[in-house]
Amino acid sequence: MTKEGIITQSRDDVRLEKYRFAMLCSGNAMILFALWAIVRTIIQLYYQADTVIEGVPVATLIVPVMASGAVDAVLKFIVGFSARAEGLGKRKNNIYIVLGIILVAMSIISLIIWISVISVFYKYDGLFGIIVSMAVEITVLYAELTLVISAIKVRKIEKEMGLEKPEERGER
Amino acid sequence: MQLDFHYYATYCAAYLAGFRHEECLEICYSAQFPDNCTRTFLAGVKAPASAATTQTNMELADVDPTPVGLQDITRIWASFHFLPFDLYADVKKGGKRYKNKYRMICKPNGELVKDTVNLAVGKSLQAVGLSMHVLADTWAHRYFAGTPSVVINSTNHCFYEVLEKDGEWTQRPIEFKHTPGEDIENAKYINTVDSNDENSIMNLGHGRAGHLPDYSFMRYKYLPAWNDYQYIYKDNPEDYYHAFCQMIYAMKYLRGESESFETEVYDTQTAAPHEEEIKGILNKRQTDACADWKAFGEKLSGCEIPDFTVETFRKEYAESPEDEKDDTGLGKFIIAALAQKSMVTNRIYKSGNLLAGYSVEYDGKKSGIKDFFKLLSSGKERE
Repeated sequence: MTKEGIITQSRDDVRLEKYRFAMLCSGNAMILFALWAIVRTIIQLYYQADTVIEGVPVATLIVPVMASGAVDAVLKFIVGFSARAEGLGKRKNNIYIVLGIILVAMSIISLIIWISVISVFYKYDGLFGIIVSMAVEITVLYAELTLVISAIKVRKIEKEMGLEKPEERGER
Repeated sequence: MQLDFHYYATYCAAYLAGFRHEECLEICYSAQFPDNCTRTFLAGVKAPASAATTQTNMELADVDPTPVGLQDITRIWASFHFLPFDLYADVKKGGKRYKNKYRMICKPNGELVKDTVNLAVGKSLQAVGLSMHVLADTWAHRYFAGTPSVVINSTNHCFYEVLEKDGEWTQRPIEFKHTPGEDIENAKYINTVDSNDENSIMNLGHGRAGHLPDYSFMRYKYLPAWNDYQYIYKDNPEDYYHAFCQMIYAMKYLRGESESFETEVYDTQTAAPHEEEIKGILNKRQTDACADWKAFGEKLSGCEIPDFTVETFRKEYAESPEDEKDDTGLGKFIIAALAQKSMVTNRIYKSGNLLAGYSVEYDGKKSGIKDFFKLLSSGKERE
């Protein structure tokens, strides 16, 4: 390789670095949100086990709440660690992008459902609780969208640049 | 830069600039001393603490992360090791705080380098040595700032060593660690611990890039936080050679051989007969080039260059009577250091940047200038 080949960056190289860095950051965010999903599920079950919401005892919802929490956390872990690894230039796969799109869809659906029953949450959590929950849900959605869009853009730019092999992409 | 360049290479540059052996020793001693003149050292000889030109790790750990503490750090590191390149740089993005940090980035050939060299005109050899330290560091420490900052000084995993062998260029990832011992062969180097705290001392200067800027053989590229995802390529052998030639030019000017000191002028002509030997030392893969520079310096002058020890200054200063302390090597160094710190702090303050604190023009009263009274009194004596 020539010196220029190593030290010169094209416009596409710069864009590639930008989106890879975005993948690293959003991947880290996904891992943190996965941990938060676990903590949140445990807290909900621990503190609200005796609560009755709209005539439905929370205790009867333990299995579905745990199952949805576990699925959410596992998906976020897979997507987060995969995006992080790719952002660091370690390895690459495409499955996690599909999972990322599923996460985005799940977040949008849960946000819509959540807004539709906002009056119920207001009754139990108050305005502060609603603002905090809303902020978290929107941040999660933003991180998921950033991750998926960045991963797609990285692939598009690599294809345009003809970086087909792992060593050409600079994978470590 | 470290002892090998600040002490031995500065000796060689001074000799090539026309100074005598004894003068060269005084210059190179003071060119190295900014890396040793800590408050702890100054307290030990009962010298003014405000003349400190560096801080030990313990001193840094002891600093309160308040604006006043950070201004103290900035005054020291920006004045002597990371001279700001352009205090009025046009920064397109970010708020005032970001712009102020960006404008502290060190690069060679800025206006402040000119001011630094001019400050040593007609002053002691210690002032000449100190200015050569500042000048040389602008080359080694370029692209880093002498103030704690994540947004300027942090680095990430995109850090590569660039290697050249027989015209073939390659790159390999650099791995940073926090355990003792540099591993040149396997590209494993020590750096400071990652911290996202904007004001953490872990993000001071080139701490996050380890000692890589200090090794003359090192060529590397990395992705700084401030450069919009564009790599910075750093060619230390080339930069160090420029620093060496600029030092020769600057010291010739300080000897009165030229009318003015201009930036981006390098005395390559004087260095030319020794270019191969100098570049050989600069390119040799070693973390300490003292032996090679010493041998080169002794070959140049035909005289022995004693090893550097802080005891030289300490002993002379401690043994001098009170009224003669300012005439000792350390006394002259202290005056030069205070002048440099005062000048740089004033320039930063006047640019509307408070990172180095307030700086007022002297109004003839002693109030508010306790730290720099030594500098004022020495000026009055000269008058």
